[in-house]
Amino acid sequence: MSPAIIPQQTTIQAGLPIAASNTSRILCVWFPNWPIQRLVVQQPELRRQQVVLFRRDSRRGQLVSAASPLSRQIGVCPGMPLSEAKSLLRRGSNEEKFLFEHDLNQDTQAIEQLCKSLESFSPIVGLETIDEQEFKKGRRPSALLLDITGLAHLFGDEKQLARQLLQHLESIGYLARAAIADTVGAAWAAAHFLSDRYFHQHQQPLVITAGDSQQLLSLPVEALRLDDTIADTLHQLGIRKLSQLLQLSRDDLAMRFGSAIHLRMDQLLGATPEPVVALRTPAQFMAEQLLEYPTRHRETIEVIISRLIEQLCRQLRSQQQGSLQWQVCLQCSSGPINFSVSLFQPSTSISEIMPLVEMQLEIVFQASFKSQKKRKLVRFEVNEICVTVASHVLLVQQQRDLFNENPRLDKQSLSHLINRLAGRLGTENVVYPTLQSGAQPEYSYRLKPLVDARRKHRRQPAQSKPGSHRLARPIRLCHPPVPIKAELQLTESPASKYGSTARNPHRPPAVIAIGKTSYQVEQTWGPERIETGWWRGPTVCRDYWRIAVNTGQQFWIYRDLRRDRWWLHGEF
Amino acid sequence: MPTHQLKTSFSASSQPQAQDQLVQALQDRIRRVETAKRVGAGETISSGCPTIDRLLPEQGYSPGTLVQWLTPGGYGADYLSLLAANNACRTGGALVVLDPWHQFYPPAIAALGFNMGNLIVLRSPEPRRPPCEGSHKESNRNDLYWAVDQALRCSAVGAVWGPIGPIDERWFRRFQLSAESSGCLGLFIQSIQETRQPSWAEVQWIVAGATGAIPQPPQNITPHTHNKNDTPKTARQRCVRLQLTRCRGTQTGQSIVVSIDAITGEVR
Repeated sequence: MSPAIIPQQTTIQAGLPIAASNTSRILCVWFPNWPIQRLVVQQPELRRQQVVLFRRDSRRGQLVSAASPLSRQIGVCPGMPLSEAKSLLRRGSNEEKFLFEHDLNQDTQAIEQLCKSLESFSPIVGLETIDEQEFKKGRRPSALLLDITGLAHLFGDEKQLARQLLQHLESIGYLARAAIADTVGAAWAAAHFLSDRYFHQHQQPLVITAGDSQQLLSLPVEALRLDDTIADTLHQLGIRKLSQLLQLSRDDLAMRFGSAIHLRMDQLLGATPEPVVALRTPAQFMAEQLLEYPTRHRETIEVIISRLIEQLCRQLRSQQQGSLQWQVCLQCSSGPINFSVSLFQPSTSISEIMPLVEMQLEIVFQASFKSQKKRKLVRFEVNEICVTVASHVLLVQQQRDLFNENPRLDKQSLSHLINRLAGRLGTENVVYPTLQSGAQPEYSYRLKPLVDARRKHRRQPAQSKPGSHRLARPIRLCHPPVPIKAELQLTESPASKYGSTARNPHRPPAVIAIGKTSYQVEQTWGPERIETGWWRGPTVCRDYWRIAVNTGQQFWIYRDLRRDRWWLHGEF
Repeated sequence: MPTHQLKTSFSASSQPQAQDQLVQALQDRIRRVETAKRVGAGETISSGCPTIDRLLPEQGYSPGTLVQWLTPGGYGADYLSLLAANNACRTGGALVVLDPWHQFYPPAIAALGFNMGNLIVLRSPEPRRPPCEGSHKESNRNDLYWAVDQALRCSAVGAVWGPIGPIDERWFRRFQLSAESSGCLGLFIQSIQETRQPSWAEVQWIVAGATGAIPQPPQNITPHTHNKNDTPKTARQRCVRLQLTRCRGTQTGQSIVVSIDAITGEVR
């Protein structure tokens, strides 16, 4: 069955010219109900289940942000209060229900990963752009854009390309809708508002031929990727379709709505260029070597990698660039093996980079040695080696101090150490702390990796001023806090509201038991009440006490005021 | 060593006090010979407390020393050991913090006035688990020990500080050689159960509460007990007892009671 062929036309009803000479071709892939799709692929047991994702709104409380098709069938829809959704789910059926808090970062990470995996279809694959306002409201990309200009013949034609792409996505568990058009705006609009109906009718992805926009005129105004408030206003004015919008004077529209509508309209028609912003730009520095005879010999592999790195280092030096991250790909008969090496400071020194690569090779090869006796041969045959500089920055050369003999100030040595540590322990385990403004101890700092290829700025030295109370906090916290048993003190005042013999919950305990050991509390300091903001989830309300016990030890304990339980959080 | 000179000086001083001085002089000489090849030989790093320094043969730690702090926890060993780490990093070296159980709390370090821009935190690759014996896998433990060894060997590191589980004897020996080669100070906080384990640490402290039979403190130090009947002069003072169980060049087994001001952090 042939794709949708729409007759070529250079003008539309309102008389606006269409850029017929535009030769770019854009493929838009849209994932309906992306948060649920992403979750189901990550947790396949949730497939065909009643799944609801909710978010916390500062004013309206917990709201449904996404719902699976089965949940929607019983009336659950996004924007609904979670309590209402729960009651619908309870009434709905006896099937198991799954309620999760919506993790927007997971949505973004998953679609970015998918974006990188589609580079076999086009070298320029990007995400749809989201306005800042929309982003703040919690909207995240759910569509991918591929620049397929001049690529269709590699797959047969555009229709075949789109079909293969959809088949690939289906094989990994995603349901997608695709459309091909001249511009990003047109492809996006067609994928969101035309492709579903077209796919159900023809079982084909939608392809709009070059220079044709007639079919798009019947689309609703939302197809212009407008802000919700503008779309609502247009609806109130009775303007529902693009064709109606085009009949209006541009000046009048600009006076009422600013330049947003014109910009989107021009992008849709190709009058204003809108390139696909690739998530990962093609590597500027890359070297590869095809092996005539596949090899298992470890030394050979190391020598080839070393030569490729040396070659790239020369290129980097000639352009005054320093590498921050390297990626090595070993093409084997069983599939590619990838690993990366990150650096603390930009470098073009082979003597600095190669030991780190060897360390990673050691980890890769460790599981693949044929036997302990033959540690020089690996189990797989390598037939191609590709080395890429994944991240690089401008290299600033600094002259070393001639008379500085203090070895402690040798930053080069420290940089080498950090590189080695990150290579062995992993970048996420070699970190530095930054302080955050948060009363809850767990949120009052953040650990950031020292080796981060995305970090463009050097770590700034931060000499902290000693606090007025230097030992207010323990140097190590129990993670997670340890539950303790606490026997409260008796109230001393007969006039107390707790009675003369009652135990006052607002007083520190008289006896605590950590595990099987009991301690008599001899001295206490506090309480220090710590409460957290609503944005951190369930409100945390704790009364912290520093206590000295009969053995001379000092502990940092707290009472969870919401649950009325005592916890050990640290030792002084 | 010129033996004839020693004989002469020994025969010249027959009084016990002179003998003590002679023994002390000989000990100093042996120590200088042993540590002559170390980086920063002749220098000392203060422990952060003059009272503790007085117990050490060189009035502080020599660069490249491994110091073991054995404690049941809750007696301020973290803070006392960090004072020495801070002094070791005054010349610009980095402070490497070991965090095998993901317990390190940086705001507490910041409150002590540490240079946060000079801090490197090493975490165990293993997911978080409560610290107990043998909680780490062998491979992860080796990774962490390898990292400690590398940090101790680096000349740009002033001190390596942190809690650590039981250390294999061979790893300990490596740590010692690495620290000696770079002059880096290694401060390890370990469970009191490690007391009987073989150790290559040059200095070993046991930190405990200052209750019960309190040994006689050195001169000019007034011990504070923490009994109900004899509370410290101010409520913010806490007293802990340090026992020097291992130290080359001085008498081991000596104890000292120090008081820590909970507000200012002053140790006396």
